[in-house]
Amino acid sequence: MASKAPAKDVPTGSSGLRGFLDTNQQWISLVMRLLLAAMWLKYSVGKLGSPDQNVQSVRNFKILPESMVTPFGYAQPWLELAFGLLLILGLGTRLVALFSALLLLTYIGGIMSLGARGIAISCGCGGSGGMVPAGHTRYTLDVLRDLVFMLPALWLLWKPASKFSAERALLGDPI
Amino acid sequence: MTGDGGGSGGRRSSGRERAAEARRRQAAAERRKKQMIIAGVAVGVIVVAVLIGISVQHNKSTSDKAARKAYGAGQPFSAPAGVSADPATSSDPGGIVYGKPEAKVTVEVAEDVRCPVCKVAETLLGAVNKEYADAGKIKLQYHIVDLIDRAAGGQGSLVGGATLACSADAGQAPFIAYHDLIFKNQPAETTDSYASVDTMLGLAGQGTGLRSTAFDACARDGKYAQWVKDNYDWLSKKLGGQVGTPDIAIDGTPFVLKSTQAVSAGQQQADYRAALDAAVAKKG
Repeated sequence: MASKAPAKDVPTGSSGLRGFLDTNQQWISLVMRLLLAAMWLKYSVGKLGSPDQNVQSVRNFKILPESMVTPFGYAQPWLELAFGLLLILGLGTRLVALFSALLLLTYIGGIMSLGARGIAISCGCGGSGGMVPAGHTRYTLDVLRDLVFMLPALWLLWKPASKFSAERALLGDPI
Repeated sequence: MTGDGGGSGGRRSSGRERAAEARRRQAAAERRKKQMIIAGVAVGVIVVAVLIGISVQHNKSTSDKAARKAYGAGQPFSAPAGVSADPATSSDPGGIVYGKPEAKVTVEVAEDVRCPVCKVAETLLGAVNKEYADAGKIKLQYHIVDLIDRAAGGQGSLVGGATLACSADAGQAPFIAYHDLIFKNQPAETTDSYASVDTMLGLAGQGTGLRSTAFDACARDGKYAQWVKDNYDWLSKKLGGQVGTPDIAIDGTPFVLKSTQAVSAGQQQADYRAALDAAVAKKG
């Protein structure tokens, strides 16, 4: 095997940002995992205690048909909780990253469509979604916040392998 | 490109290579299998969480609703003294009136004692309302609704609102004093402290002169709970199902609050005065 061509993961001659990203990729992925997990847990905990309020928030978006509003409103905080816990464990990271990105895209699309349709809701996701007078909203902030959290989701989709993850331990890789 | 295995091409060597290749393949297949199992477990966790979530949240919602139903249960509908409509003959349960009967302009205020934006409205417009009402220019009709309870769970809107309605039986002055006190002391939207009758009675004890056997019984029994619920239905009908509070209408024309960041409090007060003045001028 001495003749094997230098593989990508040998950090010879890599320097600068690219080199930093290559050598520390697993640590960066760990940070991204925990960041995304923290976001989902925060979104989830804010909604777990008040099912009716969350159903009303979902209804206020006026996107889902009424028959889907209640199931989605009930399931949403638990879905976010599951994402958060799986990310902390590092189990199925790439899959959860994919689902996270999709759900975030849904949130972003939802908030932007509120703005486009001129519906006034105090906040998009993660907080209370009560109706407020027009002008009390902060859609730009909400969209920006969700866009920022797209970053760890996309990073993990690209580089799911990370330090201290259950999946690497189960696969027998060095953790 | 360097040839793998040194390119000797011998039979034995290629046999060993094949064996190594097979082992590699098997190892890769096993790894893929493990990865599939891990992905399957992750999907399983998500599906189970969603199913548990739906049932847990459903149960919580059901018990919230049961608690709301219990307050005022068994009390026949009755409206507080001096409401704006006769509920027996109209679908309007009536608003609590503050102002003089000769005032020509009517300002309808629909609000929820738990609603933070209602507190903003009271802070901005409460003093103006009182000034105009005391001068005999307008009369206010307060429709107290339980929007936040319905949307967020809990029963502070209902208990707080129904207790506020009890104060109307004592007259306009104690009503408005208690009304202002309730909004001034409003807890955070997520803290449902107005769900406690004792908290409401404690507030009423702060110099409103309301506390009496009749008032306490009215609050504890939830005498006007149905009136509050009916006012929600009335507001929902008025707004075409899109219920938001506060809902303020000057002789039927809505006055919409704006963000105090976008339009200063002083400017909005001036706008409100102008709207009231215009309505008064129109009535001559």
